[in-house]
Amino acid sequence: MKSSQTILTLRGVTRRFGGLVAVNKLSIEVKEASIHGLIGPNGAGKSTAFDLISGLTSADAGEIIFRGEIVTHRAPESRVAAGICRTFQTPKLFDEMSVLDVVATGRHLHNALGLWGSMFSIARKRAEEARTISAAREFLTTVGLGAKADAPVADLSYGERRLVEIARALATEPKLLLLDEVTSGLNPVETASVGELLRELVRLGLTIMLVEHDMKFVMGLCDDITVMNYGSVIAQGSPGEIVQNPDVVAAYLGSPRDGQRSRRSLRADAPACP
Amino acid sequence: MSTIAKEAHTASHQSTSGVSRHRRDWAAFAVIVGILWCLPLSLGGFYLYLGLAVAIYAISALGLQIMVGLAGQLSLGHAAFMGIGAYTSVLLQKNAGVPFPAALAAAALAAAAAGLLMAQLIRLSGVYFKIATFGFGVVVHQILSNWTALTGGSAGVRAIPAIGVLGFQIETRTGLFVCEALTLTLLYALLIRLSHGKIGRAFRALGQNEAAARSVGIAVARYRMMVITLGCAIAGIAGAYLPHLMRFLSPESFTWYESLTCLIMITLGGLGSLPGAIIGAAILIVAPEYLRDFAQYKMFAFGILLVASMILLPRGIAGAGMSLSRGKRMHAQ
Repeated sequence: MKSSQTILTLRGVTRRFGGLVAVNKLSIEVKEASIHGLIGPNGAGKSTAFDLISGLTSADAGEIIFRGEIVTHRAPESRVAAGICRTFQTPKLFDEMSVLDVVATGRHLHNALGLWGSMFSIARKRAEEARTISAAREFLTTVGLGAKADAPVADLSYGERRLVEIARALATEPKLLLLDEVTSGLNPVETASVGELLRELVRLGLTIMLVEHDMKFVMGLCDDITVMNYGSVIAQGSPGEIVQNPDVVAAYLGSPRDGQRSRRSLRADAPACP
Repeated sequence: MSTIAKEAHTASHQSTSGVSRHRRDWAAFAVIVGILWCLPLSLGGFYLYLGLAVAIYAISALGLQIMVGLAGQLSLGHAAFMGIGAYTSVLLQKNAGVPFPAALAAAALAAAAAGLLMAQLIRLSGVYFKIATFGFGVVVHQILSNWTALTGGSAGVRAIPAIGVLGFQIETRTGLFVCEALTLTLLYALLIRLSHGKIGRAFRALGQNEAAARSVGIAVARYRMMVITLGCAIAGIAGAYLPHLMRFLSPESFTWYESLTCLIMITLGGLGSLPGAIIGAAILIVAPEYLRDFAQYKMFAFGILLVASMILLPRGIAGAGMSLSRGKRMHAQ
């Protein structure tokens, strides 16, 4: 039932930090309602790619097209409004808030009342707040944390922090969700349930991009995979094609000449890949 | 089936406790506003004077609280905006015969404009912004002290005109107190409303994690401008009342010393807490009046108080009160 329409296109996107080319002529096409994995060794430029797509950093060259619109140099908030939302490698929540309030911040762009409206229009404000809170509860229930709504963020476990961050991102009602190492720090049970959640979300029409180190998770979940190394794409294709790609194997396992490098497995049964 | 029932149960349980957050804020409001209106008016005399001073600094501290405590935009020049408000309103009243309510609005606008100017000029992040706000405060104080033709310089302004509201001349301290208490009550209520909605959440998000705030679509630059402008406008309103209490206006009421005192008020009361700002203001205004013999140690004592409160009550008096009541509730369950 998956449509093959492209939702996100990166064309020759480049980002330099001083002399370092963090992302070099990156071109990716992400299909709507699919899961697209972005993998590669540490420092390959995956997180920078996410920063470029979400607008936290701006491209030096190239084009980013989201749902037919060029968003290359748009501010992050305008990309959220367009339907791109992200999570972070280390969950970034609001540590002095309750869990429910954190998720409610995700409703920011869905609420209309401004500074004066918040203070003076009593009935509209009450209605808007009621909508916000019930929506936030719903998204919290979606990730399975409905019971923690009133807990302070400080009381959460690491895995719960990740789930709250996902709930907050979902509360923005994105079309494209960027998840940066969503399974790191999770135990196998939590990882499996996150996988289930992501499948369900994609079934409902969401598009997901993953930066991930857990190869089993990536290979089992993704429809397409882009492999980066030193800022450049070295392979793109389905999980089956990626595992057999000689360049990928070389990047992960070390080239035949490079016997000293630690052997890192790409096979699906390997627990995790550093 | 059982999980659905369980979730329905927890949901209903939560919605009651979600309401209780609002209820808690309004309960604190009722208590504080009740004390504010009853105590100074019934005791009169010197207590009325104390009430007037507390109300002014409570308003100012509320402005600083939303900037610093809520949105994390530390300002070391808050008193300067009180000064801008004070001089704007008094000079308009005195030189142009503008009625007090209009002068009060002008004071808020002038302080807001200055705050916006500061935020625009100093587009710095982190510690540089904080240092620059200190510089801005010093510059404003220097202007007030040295632009003698307009402000009267360090000699100050005397013969402050009385407050006239809708044809009534307010010449008693009681009348002045009613005006101030009304202003404080109204502002406090509006800020509680603000803190509960979209904007208040955006301010708190900005203060707690800027990158995360940006990731959910909060335009952090715009909200930073907004909260700085709002906080400064409120300082301007507080400033407009100050000359009517002192019956005299001098630049020395708006030094960095005073800015620091405002910061200690909100820290002692509890960063991020609106009632905390008012409690902190009350303590820092009332305590020195009873410790006049030790007046020369005032700032020393404030410093000690600040350090002690940060060690013993890291979330201030309001935070300590809240965890106390939460502890009791859990104990009761």
